[in-house]
Amino acid sequence: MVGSGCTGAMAAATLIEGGGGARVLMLDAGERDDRYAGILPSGDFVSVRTTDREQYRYFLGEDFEGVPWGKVGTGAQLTPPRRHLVRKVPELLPLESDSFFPLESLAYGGLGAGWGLGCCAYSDAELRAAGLPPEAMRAAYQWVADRIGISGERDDAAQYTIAHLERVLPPIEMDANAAHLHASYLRRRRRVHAAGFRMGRTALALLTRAVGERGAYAYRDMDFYDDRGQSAYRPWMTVDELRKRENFLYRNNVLVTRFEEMPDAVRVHGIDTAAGEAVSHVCRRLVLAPGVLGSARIVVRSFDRKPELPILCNPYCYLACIQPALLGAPARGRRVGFSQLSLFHDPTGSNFDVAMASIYSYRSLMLFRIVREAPIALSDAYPIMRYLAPALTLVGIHHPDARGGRRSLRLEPCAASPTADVLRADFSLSEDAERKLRDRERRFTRVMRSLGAYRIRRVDPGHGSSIHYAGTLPFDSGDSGDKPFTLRPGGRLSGSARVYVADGSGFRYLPAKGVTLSLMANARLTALSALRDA
Amino acid sequence: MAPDSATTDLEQGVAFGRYLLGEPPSQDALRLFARAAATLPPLDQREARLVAFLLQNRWAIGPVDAALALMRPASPVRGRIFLMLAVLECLPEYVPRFLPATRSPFEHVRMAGHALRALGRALLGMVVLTIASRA
Ligand SMILES: Cc1cc2nc3c(=O)[nH]c(=O)nc-3n(C[C@H](O)[C@H](O)[C@H](O)COP(=O)(O)OP(=O)(O)OC[C@H]3O[C@@H](n4cnc5c(N)ncnc54)[C@H](O)[C@@H]3O)c2cc1C
Repeated sequence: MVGSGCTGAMAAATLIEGGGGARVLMLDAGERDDRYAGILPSGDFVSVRTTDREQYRYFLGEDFEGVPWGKVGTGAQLTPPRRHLVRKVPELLPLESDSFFPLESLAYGGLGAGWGLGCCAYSDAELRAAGLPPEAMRAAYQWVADRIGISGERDDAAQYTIAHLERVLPPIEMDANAAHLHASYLRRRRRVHAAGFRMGRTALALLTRAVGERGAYAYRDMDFYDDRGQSAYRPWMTVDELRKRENFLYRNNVLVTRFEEMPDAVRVHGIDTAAGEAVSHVCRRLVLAPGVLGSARIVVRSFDRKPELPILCNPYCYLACIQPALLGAPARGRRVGFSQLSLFHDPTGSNFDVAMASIYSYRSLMLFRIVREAPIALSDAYPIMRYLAPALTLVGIHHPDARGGRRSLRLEPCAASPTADVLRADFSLSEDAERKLRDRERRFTRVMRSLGAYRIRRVDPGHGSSIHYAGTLPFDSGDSGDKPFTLRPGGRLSGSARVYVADGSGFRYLPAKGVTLSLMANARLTALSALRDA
Repeated sequence: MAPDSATTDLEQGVAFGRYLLGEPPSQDALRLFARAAATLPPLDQREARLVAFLLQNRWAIGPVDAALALMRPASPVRGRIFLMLAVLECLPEYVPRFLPATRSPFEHVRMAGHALRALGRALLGMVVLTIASRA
């Protein structure tokens, strides 16, 4: 296995628990937070703010790395305790582009060490368009859900989120900001439906009841900083569990660079990131789960031909809206950092080509992050923002992505890089797609206004900022089975007998709904197919 | 670090802190600001001149900050004022300024006052910034 992220964790668990005595070696870059875990307090956000004289250490960072200055980019929400997610990425995963700004991770648990927990099951139509088998995916969704724990509600949005899932825990309680918007939706439901929208509770990989060693969500509003109580699912929890097994071995500080397939084995080459030395391991089967850009790099390096690969990424922007009824409300009540509501635009009611907005209230990311966005003197901006913050509702809009426009990934030589190459990325949408996207955003703005939330700003952090990627090695179900740089259904690399790709590289279409639950379900299917082939 | 740059960081902390709070910042705020400022790259000549101007003409900090917000929002000088703001937000003694505890009917009026002041400052600031840049 390569990678300990959401997909690596689910694939490894499937291999280990699948019977048949598989022995798994997980190779992982495995960067960890060795700075902040020990100093994060157990209190809730407000009590910490009012009592801890050392709070700057985790809110601003020991080196003040959490004080942003300059353009808002991908991953702006990563706080100092979460910044290990991107540690060493610029050096070890160099990427050059002026049109695509993805977030990649070399962390233990990958991007999942800081993900927002939003879970959505794709509809059958979406699964088919992505090249995924609906029936098997439904079973895999349930397996993943049982493992990570999902809370949600059977409401108007359930068909887009928890869909057919069973054993869903009750949702978290809404804070004042979300509750106000939700009440407004319930009052105007028919009008909102007529406009093609449905709103409901966001399904989250978050426990609202204790399960095993993981506790129930404690409403501390420290969601962007720590994993205390482990109510929020992080993939390292699964890998920690697997590491207790005799047939599972975890090795960190390894950057896998390429593989060589031999008649009865695969040799995996990499770099020891601590010692800077070359390393190699031999295995019977190789399952790659280093994220879709990571898989693209490893697969391309492993062959002589260096083609351009495609990429899918949900276009993303967010709207800052104000609910005037909440202006100046006391900020001391309960607040939740995770998305509590989701709004889906499905004008045809087909559950295909759906756009999705995740809705957030704002507090624990601190006032200074939004103050810098105000085009006025800072001494006027912060009292105004303090007044606005309880009323501030952030609406992060994801659009579905199919191929089109100009998009490509190319691995080019670069002597300065430790891997001797750099990934060059191009990304643009077709004019049609751009037009449709703008039109949809106008509709989101209108429906939010009808719910009493008025847009004050639109922020476009650029392509790549959705942090939802797929489609670099698309599934190919053609008869020949050896079309280079594609995957067979089941995740085996075309033309290979022993190499599988368990992340989202195979998806041929990327619905706007949070991709990660589907990534994890697909990772399970890939691991099952590797077990079957063994 | 050169002693003169440490002195300037401290002076900046005092001036920017007073500008943001309307009162002298606490010793802890100054100490933290100096540590944080030491992590920033040095200012180029133009920005250093502007800081020197602001330290000599502290009344001009608000107007210049307002003008920078419109004309050069990424200015490192504004970045330093912003850094002081972030430091202040993380000190318990200033938390009430950042987390409203009660809702007062006068808040709307106060906010309108801030908005008006922001506008006036921006207009004055554009003139001051032009003069300071030529000086
Ligand atoms: C702030 C944030 C919020 C998010 N919110 C949501 C959400 O609410 N809903 C949702 O659906 N998605 C969300 N996402 C996206 C989600 O995190 C990703 O889709 C998911 O984690 C991807 O998992 P992965 O296993 O495919 O890859 P990754 O998470 O990228 O994991 C890759 C793993 O491989 C390792 N690795 C990489 N390259 C190599 C190499 N060459 N050699 C060895 N090891 C390597 C890394 O160390 C890591 O362990 C969010 C992401 C972020 C950052």
